[in-house]
Amino acid sequence: MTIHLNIAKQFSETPGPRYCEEGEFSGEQFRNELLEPAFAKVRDSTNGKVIVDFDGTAGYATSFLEEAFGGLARIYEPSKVIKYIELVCTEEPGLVEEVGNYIKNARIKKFSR
Amino acid sequence: MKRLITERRWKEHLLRRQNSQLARKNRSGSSAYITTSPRRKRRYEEFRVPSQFSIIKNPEEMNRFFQKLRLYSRVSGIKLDWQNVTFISPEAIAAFIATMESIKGIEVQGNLPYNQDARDTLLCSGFFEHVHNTVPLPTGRTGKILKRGSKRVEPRSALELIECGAKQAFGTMNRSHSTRAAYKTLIELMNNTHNHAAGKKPDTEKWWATSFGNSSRKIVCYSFVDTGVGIFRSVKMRSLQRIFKMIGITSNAEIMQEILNGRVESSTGLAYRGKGLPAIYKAACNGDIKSLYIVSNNMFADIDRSLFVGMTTSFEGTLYYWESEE
Repeated sequence: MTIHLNIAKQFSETPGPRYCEEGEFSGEQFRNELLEPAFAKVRDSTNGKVIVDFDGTAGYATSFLEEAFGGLARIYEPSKVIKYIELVCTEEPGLVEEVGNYIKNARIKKFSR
Repeated sequence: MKRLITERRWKEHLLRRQNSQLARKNRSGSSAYITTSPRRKRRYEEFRVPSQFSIIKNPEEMNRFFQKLRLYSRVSGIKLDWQNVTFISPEAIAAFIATMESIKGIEVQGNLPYNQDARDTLLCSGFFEHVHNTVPLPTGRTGKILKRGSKRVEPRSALELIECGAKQAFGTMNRSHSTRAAYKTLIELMNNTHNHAAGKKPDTEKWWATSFGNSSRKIVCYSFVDTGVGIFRSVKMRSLQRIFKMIGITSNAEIMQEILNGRVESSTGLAYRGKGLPAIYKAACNGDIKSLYIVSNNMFADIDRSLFVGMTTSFEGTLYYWESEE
């Protein structure tokens, strides 16, 4: 089972802040409304995948990306998020690595210099 | 035993009471009657506006100007003499509007610069939407500076600022690394103002952002200002300053470098937070945004020149200026 999520088409061309209370189109809202329901569907199926397409938006703040993907990795295991989610971005190729790092480091509690 | 009084005596009593209440109010100066009285004229303090009306080029003099403005606006109206102004930059306009908005009840009068370029910039800046004009103003020749302000993160306003600036500068709006970096920067800064600028106050601080497309230089100039506590007067930063002192980092200019390099913990204490300013710095180092300046409290940073210096004066809040190419 594969679910395609295009952020620009299915959520917003103007992704916003981290939390809903800070402004519209937040990372928290995206995670709650689209990402987590899609993730929950595929993780119960064999060979399931959520393909997230980042292209077509005005841009992304780090807080949006961290809350959406890092936030998901704080709810589920980072390894499971990496396993079931595929990231696609042709406009900003560096974004895939950046989001991957947010997922990997989502549960690190202590700040290190 | 109750005393019975006539209607005439009761009316006289009420009138005397009202008069004495009014006299008491006028003596204490709390009455709106005093300020709205047609017999009373408000005194205006005259200020010469710095000839280089630019925070990134003339920060110390501009800080002194804003300090004076804040101080005198409490007791008198402000009369601004713009005649000798030769240069006005967009970020100074944004800071000026933000300062005026933060001072409640400020009354401003003024003239226009003799210099044609400065005059055009001022006329197109949106500054006159914040003052009462007694005479109709001529229109400027340069493109209008678009400004937006809010207490929340406004993604649509960010896109509007980018589109407007790009159309002015390049004639069209194409999404690129530059526009995406400008968008990211605007959202990060709105987030920072929302979360940190108010300090101990329960309310959130308002931000002001402007974009101006310079068609001759083919660049878009962005400014972002809030008149909050500034980066170094936030609650968390005060305690961090003590820790930094122990490891030999004493000035705000040095602390700023630590923040931009991602070596300072977020005020939330969460390891996954506090990535906004390092991301903006990275975008400037990669060249996705150009000519980034940061001014906050007594710290001035010119990122392109890797210049981080302390100032003798202080900017009340935080100001960012950067440019984007096509």
